[in-house]
Amino acid sequence: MKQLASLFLIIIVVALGCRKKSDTAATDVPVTISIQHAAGAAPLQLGTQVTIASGDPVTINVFKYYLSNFSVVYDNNEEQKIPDSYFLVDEANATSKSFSIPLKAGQVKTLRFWIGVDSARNVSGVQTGALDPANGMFWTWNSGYIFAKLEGRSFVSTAPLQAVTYHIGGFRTGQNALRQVSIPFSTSLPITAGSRFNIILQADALKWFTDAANISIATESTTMEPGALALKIANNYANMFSLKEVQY
Amino acid sequence: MRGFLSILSLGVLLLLSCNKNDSTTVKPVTPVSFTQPAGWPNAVYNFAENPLTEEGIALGKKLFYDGRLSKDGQFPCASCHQQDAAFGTFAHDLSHGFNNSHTLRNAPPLQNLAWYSEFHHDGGITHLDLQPLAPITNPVEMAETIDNVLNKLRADATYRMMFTAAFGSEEINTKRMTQALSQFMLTMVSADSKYDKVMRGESTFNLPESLGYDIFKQKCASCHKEPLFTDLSYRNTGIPMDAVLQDKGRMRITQNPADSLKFRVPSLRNIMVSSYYGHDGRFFDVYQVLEHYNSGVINGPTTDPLVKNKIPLSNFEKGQLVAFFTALTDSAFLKNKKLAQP
Repeated sequence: MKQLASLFLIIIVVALGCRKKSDTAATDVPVTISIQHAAGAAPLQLGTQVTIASGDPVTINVFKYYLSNFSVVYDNNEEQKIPDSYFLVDEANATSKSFSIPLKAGQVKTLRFWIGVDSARNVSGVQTGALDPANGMFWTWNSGYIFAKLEGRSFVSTAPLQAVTYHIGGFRTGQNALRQVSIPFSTSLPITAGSRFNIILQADALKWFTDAANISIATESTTMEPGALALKIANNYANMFSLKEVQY
Repeated sequence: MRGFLSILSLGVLLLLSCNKNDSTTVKPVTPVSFTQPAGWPNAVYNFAENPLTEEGIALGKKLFYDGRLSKDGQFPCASCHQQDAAFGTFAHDLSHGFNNSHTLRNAPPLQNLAWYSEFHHDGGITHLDLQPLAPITNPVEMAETIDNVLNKLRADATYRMMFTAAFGSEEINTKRMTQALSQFMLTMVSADSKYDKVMRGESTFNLPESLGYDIFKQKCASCHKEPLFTDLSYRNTGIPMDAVLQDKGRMRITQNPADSLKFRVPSLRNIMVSSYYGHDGRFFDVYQVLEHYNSGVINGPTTDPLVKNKIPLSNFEKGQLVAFFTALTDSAFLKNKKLAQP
């Protein structure tokens, strides 16, 4: 009888041991984040000319950026960080504009994330997945991620091919272009085991050119390294996100 | 009790069996230990994240000598990093790259990389694993894209086999490719020159070497710190900027004017086989370098205090220094077959 009891005990231990990651997954609720890109009041159309705050025209051809280090704040002010949450969002790639993050059940009042890649991942060697340098969002000669890219054309640009090229990044002291975004919900989202929330965010590409400071394409058509213009644009696009809708 | 034990062992077996792992079909790797030379500071490379294995080193060596990492197939890593020049470019100022281009700087010798945490003359690269991505993608070096290189490797059955042997599956990605290259480059340890033998008590300096070592300790060693023969700092040694290259050195990375024209102190190990000298290779031989410190230093806002009053060196002292430099040539390293082109 004692042996039978210990056999049962062992079976239970083994069964628990085998559950591994699946038991945490059972309590995590996937919440979808969907991103829509805009150019002012209209949806962003790659290859279509728009007018920026300074009055300059620009045709945006490439629009992509990293979002990372997602977290949510619950009503009790507890913050849940989502480990390894790195996403490369690309206007030209529809599937990149929707992804899910695993949340614990609770009342979520704020969503937070960073535009860019934290300094730890900039200095710890070669990463995989969204952060693989093969994705072309990495400076190989001055180690570091390109946090965000906007490329286009403007007839006021004095660069070759009238190009507008903004590759924004920088993690070193004095060059840090990492910007945090905070999206508060007017009513907290009740995350429960069966809920299927879809948080639809809008990112306005025209904000790159205004908000903290206006950008003049004639004199500021190009940045492809960390530094003053990168910081100026990062300060602008830090406010490009807004909450459009929550679906459930 | 015996029954209990057997049930327990059954339980352990069951537990082990839930540890799903495809490694049953993959041969185990052969670990290689990294030898830390006696008396040296600890290596800074994180071997725990990328443990050396025979399979990883063999893969890294194949990659290092493979021209397919470049756009036109002509420029393997080894085209600029030649073993007989301590993995620098022998007798060149700048190196040759894709489509008859030239590099911005002199290819640095590759040795003792496990002790470095920053790479390039300006320290712009923050990890050894990231280093190969710079020459691979530079239009005046290998001129390729990372994606193209990975696709060339994926199409090659030998590489698929070697990646499986080194990393346990056929997957070929940037991380695995660069970790394998790091493993090979980490084996480029030069610690067996006559100088090292003297330090270990296995040999003695002859008179010129001994006199040269004394002069070295007095006039050179504060920057070219033993045993790496560099203190890994960035300094402006009074070499004026070339008007065409317009290379501001460390300032290119930090954008801090205080870093203008600063370059990392190069190691003096194997110096007699790794000409030319200076970040842009402007000095043809070591006597020109020594004469620069004796009479050529140009003072500017960032010139290093240690050289701004120049370093007086008589012809006699130069001769003895060169005798000492010769004792830094590590022929075992330069002729090591394990590092040689397969």
